[in-house]
Amino acid sequence: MSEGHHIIPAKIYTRTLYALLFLTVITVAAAQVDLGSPLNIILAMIIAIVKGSLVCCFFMGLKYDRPLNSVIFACSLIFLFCFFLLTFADLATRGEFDPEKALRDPDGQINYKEVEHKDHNTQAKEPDAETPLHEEKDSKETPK
Amino acid sequence: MKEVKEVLHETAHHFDSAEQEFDACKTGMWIFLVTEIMLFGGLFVGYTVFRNWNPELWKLASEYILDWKLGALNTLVLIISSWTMVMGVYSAQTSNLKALKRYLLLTILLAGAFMVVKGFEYTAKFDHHAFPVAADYSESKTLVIERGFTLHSDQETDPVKRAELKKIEDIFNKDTQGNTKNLNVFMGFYFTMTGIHGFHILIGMGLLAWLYVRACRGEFHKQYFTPIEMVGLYWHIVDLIWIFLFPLFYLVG
Repeated sequence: MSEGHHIIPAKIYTRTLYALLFLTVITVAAAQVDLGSPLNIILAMIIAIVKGSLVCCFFMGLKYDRPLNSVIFACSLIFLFCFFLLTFADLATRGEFDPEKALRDPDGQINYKEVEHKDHNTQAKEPDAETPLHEEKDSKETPK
Repeated sequence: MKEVKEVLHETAHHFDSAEQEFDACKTGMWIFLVTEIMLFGGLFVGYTVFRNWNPELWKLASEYILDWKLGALNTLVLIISSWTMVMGVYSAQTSNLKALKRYLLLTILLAGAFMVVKGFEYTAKFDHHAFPVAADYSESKTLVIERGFTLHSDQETDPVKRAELKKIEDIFNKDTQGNTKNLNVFMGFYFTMTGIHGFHILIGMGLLAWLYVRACRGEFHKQYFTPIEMVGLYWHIVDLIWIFLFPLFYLVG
């Protein structure tokens, strides 16, 4: 087996290690700077993908391996992508749902049983509304 | 140290050659790794959906509840352990038994260090009542208070601090529609994903210990190192998953 089997030189492993450590520092540093919500995530994911590729190519040896293993791995990523795509296609095309409306009785009254913790501070104005135990406890503790 | 005699490996009868046996093992291992990617892939999809629904919760939870320093430490530990693992594979390929045993032991130790840090993190979450089940309103207040605030928002006199504390309380306890307690959603994803990952680390430690025992018997050398290579692949996929878990939970808020 040793004949014809490619042994990756130790130097490559060590360089990969340095690159991964470096990228970890970069990703931590980048997170300390507020670039705005989508930009931070995109940058962090790009760095993670680069790190992941380094692990796959060198530590896992896909670069030097038979192509079959790379194809198997790539297939899993393609299917994962489909999973994301279909899930978000579903979410993006759903109609609006307004729980405020959904929780109202036909005559327009809010059902306090369901939204009790929403109006946490104002629910005391409704003495008849059924109040769960921990709410009572909580409101008693607050004045202390 | 006494010299260990190399044990020859006999190729299983249904393979033409040792090389064919090795390649079949490796392809089989990759197919298994694909199932691992699918397992975590499902969790990542769920994570993305719920994060999309609760962007503010995610931001505050990763800022106030998770400690990125511990996460970064664990990332370094795991990356270095991945390196010791490949160096172990390299040592086996070059029949350097002494180095192989040393690297295997180092990998086990680093994996242990990862689990110890994880243990400290989990303990802190439990102490702060950051549970994956619906948290009590008053208890999640305690949690916020311990991270830099001294009073309930109702009792805070400084209006700036009070407004900030009120905002944090609201986000931890209400979703975008303002009617569900939802810190538990974030904690649910955190504990499920890092928990399953940690479980993989424990399994990896067991496999590495098994390799170490076999290495001591002299079973691995340049003619036969299939199990080392396979456990190595497993170990790298665990590292790979952490490379994505770390920024998604600890950094990106």
